[in-house]
Amino acid sequence: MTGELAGGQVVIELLYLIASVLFILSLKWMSSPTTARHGIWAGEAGMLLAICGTLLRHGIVDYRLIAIALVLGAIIGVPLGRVAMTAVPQRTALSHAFGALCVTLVGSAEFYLRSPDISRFMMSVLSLEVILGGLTFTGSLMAAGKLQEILPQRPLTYKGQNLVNFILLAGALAIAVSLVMHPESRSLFPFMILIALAFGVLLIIPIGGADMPTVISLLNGYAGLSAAAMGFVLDSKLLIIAGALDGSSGLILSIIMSKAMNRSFTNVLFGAFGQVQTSSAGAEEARPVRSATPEEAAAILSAANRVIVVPGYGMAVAQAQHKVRELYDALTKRGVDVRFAIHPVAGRMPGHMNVLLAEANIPYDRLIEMEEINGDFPQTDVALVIGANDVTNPAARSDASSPIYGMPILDVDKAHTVMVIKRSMNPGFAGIDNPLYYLDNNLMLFGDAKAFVGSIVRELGGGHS
Amino acid sequence: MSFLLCLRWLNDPELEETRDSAEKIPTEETGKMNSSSNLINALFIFVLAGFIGFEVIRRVSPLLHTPLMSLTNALDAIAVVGAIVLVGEHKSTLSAVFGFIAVVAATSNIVGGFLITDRMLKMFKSSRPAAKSSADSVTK
Repeated sequence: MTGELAGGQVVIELLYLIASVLFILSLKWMSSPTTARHGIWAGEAGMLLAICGTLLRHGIVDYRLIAIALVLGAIIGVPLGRVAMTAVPQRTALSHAFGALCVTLVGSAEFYLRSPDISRFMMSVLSLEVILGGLTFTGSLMAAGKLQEILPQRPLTYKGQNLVNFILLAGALAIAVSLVMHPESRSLFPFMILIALAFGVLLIIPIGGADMPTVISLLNGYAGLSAAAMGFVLDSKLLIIAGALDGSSGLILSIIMSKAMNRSFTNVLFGAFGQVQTSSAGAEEARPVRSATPEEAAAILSAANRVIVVPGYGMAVAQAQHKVRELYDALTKRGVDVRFAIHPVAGRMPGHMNVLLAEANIPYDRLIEMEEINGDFPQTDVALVIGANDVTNPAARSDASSPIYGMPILDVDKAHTVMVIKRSMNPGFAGIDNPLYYLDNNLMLFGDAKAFVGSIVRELGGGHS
Repeated sequence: MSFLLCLRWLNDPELEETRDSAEKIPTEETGKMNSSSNLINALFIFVLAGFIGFEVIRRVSPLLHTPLMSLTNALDAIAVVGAIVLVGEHKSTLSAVFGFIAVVAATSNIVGGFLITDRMLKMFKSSRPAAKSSADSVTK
């Protein structure tokens, strides 16, 4: 394929070049909500050009089967594009799985087509492609299952877990090395894939719900890397570029997420959060907490000048975002300044809370990032925590023995009054007790987030219901 | 128009030649030589694209991290290109079957990914239009 390119080939490569530029522009325009939708159009145009360019290739004889596959994919894709916003994390995990499936299948097919005539370099990249693809496929399916709550969200750990994982990975790599040396030993190939698939399952088993933002980002990065490896195998520059873009996106998001939890990648992947703490949780239940009724909460809120709402995964579970919007409207109408504090790992994937609140029609300039808003809590009359727990836990600042010590948190405890909507005093997903609840300026609002916010809105007289 | 003619002209004369190269079964030496120079090119592209990706994505507002992920997911499904070739060339039953499933999986990512990203981005509104809509609900 190098050297003299045929004319038709040049046209196709030029189409791919335009597609690559459009892909980069697409991501560049995502930098701001005002230009972001151009980004989609650029991405779609690039995708269309690339697919058309590919269909022009001379080797292609069977258009019928391609058409059937494209239509079938579109039929599956449309409902996946129409899921509820609360289901976006599991949808994303599922689409990582689909992407990885595609890469793994193409890699396997290429292996069997080329088998004895594979250079060492090609075989190494191909192995990387299918190992990464395979583990991302099953890993993402597991993540999607946990997020959809088909599988238990609690981390599952057993003795020697890391050792088993390490042995599996080493086994897959050993097969890869022997295939690089002897690409003719076709019978080894399926074992490499099976091990990669098993490794993906075992990698996600010990990971709990609260770590999902990091894990989804990491799987995103793996999917990108495996696509880039596929680009090396197929000698497709477009695929290398798209894979590198996706890979760096996943990497950046993983770094942001793990920084926001004050943990390293290895700790997220091999640390099994949430096991250690369950023992320490029960002891402090007896301490007194103050609680309030919806009427009292409404009175405090309407007397406030500045309110910061802190949403968390609990808001998503309770589907409370629309009631929260009504609360926002009712308070804004009374002249209260209401803003939302968004912790990077609130929810189950990066940016999860922003999407839910935007869906409920809350203007995005009211959604403030943690670093920007943290300094404002001391001047805030009320901090209203809805379904968030660990990201508000002051133990992260003060208690060196706490498992989340060092994690950056929203300083809600510095507000004049803190109100926390919570079902009960049970500790959150990570199973860590929250000393915030026992502070003098804290009021517990016990109940379902949606129902409770609804009754506050009724008290304020601004509800639509 | 002239562009289309140009396309045809570029396409036609090479028909024979590319058919041959499509059935390429590289001999040991040429295969290795090509793959090593291609490898260097590919590595350059990978590293540079990685840098661009890093710089571009660093600037994405955290507000849009969820749509960013669904968008990169859709773009990543460009892997469909490789799968289409597998199906289209139909070199073996296995490769066609694997390719078929791969095309279905990737296309569902393209369609679903762009759809949901668009839906999400449509929801992000600034204070001004939002103020208008709340005024609407008052007049109602």
